[in-house]
Amino acid sequence: MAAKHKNVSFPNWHPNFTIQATLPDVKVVRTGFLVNFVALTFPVLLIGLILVDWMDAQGLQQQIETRKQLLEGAIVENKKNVEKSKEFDIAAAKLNDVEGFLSGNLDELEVIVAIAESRPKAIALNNISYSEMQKKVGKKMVLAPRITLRGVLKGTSADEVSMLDEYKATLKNLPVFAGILDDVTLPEPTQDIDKDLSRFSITIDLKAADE
Amino acid sequence: MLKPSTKGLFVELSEYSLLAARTSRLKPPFTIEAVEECTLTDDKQIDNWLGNFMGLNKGQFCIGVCGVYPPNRLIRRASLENPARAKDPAFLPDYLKQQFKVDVATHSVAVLNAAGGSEFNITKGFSRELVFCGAPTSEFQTLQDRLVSFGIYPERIELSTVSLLGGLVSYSELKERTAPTMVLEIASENAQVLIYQGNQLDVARPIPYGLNSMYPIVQKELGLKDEASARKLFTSNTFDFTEMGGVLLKKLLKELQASTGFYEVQTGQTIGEIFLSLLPDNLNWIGSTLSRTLGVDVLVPEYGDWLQSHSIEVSDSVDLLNLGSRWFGLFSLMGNFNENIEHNKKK
Repeated sequence: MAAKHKNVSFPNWHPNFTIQATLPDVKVVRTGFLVNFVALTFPVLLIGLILVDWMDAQGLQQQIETRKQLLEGAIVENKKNVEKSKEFDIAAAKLNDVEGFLSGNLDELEVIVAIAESRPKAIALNNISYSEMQKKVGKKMVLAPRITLRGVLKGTSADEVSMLDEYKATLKNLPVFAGILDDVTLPEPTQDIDKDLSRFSITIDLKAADE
Repeated sequence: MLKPSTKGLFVELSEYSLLAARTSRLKPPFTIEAVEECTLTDDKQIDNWLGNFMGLNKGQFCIGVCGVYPPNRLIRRASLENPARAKDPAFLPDYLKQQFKVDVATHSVAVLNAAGGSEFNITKGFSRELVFCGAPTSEFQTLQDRLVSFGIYPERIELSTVSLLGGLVSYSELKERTAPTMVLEIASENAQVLIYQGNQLDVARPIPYGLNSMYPIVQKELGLKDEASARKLFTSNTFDFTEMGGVLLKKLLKELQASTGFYEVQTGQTIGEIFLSLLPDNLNWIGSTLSRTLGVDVLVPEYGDWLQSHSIEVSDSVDLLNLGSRWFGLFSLMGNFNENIEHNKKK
C-alpha cells in the first residue's frame, strides 16, 4: 500500500503520497546519467574481462598444442637416443673388455705367441678368449683374468688324448705365466669318433692384479 | 535544478485554486513570510507566478510540502472486529477490496489509527478503529506531475482532507472544545462528511452529491438557458444564493441530517460545530445555510494562537484575519501533530 512511497513512516495525520520514483533529478550536478553509465560500465567491463580470459585461454591452448608437438618429436628423438645409448653400452662393454685385457699384467701378444708356439702339432686352436671371473680372495671379491683355449686334437685314443695333459703341463710351465698363474684346468674332451677328433677346452686362470 | 535556498513553500492545490505560503524554513519553528492565492486558469501562468513568489530562475525548483484533493480520493473509517487478523499481510488489502472496493494494486492507501492519526503499525500497538485514506495512484501521479510543472519539488504530497483533520483536531484541543465537530468538504462531483471528537475521527462518509448537482436546480429556479450559464452564475460572485440555499442544498442536507442523526443516536453526543473546507469565499452562503438548517455553529478558525502553539510565527505583512476557513488546509500542512497539546499550550 504505502510501500510504493519512500516515506512509509509518517507523522500523525500526515501520510505522504509522493511518488519518489518519478520525481525529476534536480541535483546541482545531475547524476541520474551515472546510473546508466554504471549500468553500462559493469557489463562492458565484464564482457572485456571474459574476452581477455578467452583470448588467454586460446593462447594457452595454442601453446599446449605446440608443446604437444614438440613433446612427440622429443619422444621419437629420445627413443633414438635410448637405442644409441644401448648400442653405446654394448660397445662400451666390449671396449672395457679390451681395455681390461690391455691394461692387465699380461703382454697379450707374448701370451698368444707363447700359447701358439707351445702347441703340439696334433692340436689345433680354434679360439683363444679372454675374460674376467669373480673370485673371493680372503673377504674380498676380485676380478681375475681367465684365458680360455678351445680347439681340437687329432685322434681319440688314450695315448693321443694324453697329449692334452702334456699340453696342459706345458702351459702351466710357460715362462709368460710365471708368478701370475693360478690354475690350468682341462675338462674331459669330447670325442668325435667319425672325424677322429677330440674337442677340448683348456681354462687358464690367472691371479688378480691385487692378489 | 533546486534553488539553493532555505525558504519553505507550502501549497494546497484544489479544483478551485492554488493556495501558497512562503516560510522562513520548511520545518517549524519558522515564520510565515507571505501567503497568496493563484487561480487555476493557466498552468503556465502558475509557473511564472510561483517563480515570482519564491524568487526562482527559469528551470529552478523549490522544495515544497503540498496538499492535494485527488478527484477519487478515499477517506474511510473502519472498526476491526478482530484486530489480531491485521497481522496477516493479506488481511488489510482484502479488507479494503471487500469493504470499499479499493484495489491496492492501483491505489496508494495509508492506514491511520482513528485516534490521534498515527500510522497504523501492527508492531507498535494500534487501536481497532482505523482510517483508510488514499486515492488511485494515477491521480497522485497526475497531481505530482502538475506540481513539478509549476516548479515545485514535492517533499511531501498529502491528502489535504487528512492533514486538515489533524489541524482541526489540534485546534479543538487547544481551544478545549469537547463537542463533536462535523467537517464538510464539498467538491464538484461529491462531498465528504467527517465527524471527530477529541482526537478521534468517528465518522468518515462520502456523499454522492457535489456542486454539480446544484447547477440544474439553479438553471430551473432562475430560468437560465443551460447548465453552463447556471454554473457561470454560481461561481461568479454576482448573485446572492442565500435565499435559494435551502433548495440547492436539499439533497446534501438530507444526507447530513442522516449522518448527524445516526451519530447523535449512537453516541448520545450533539454535534457542536460544523466546519466547511475547500469552498471558495463566494460560496460562504453554504455555511450559513447549513448552520441555520442543522442548528449548529460554523467553526471560524482563529489562526494566530493555534499557529503559535505549533511554533509558527506570522509576518506582519500577513493579515490572518482576512484568511477564511479555506486556508486552514494550507496551515494544517505546517503543523506537527505528534506533539502533545499540553506541551503546545505551555509554549
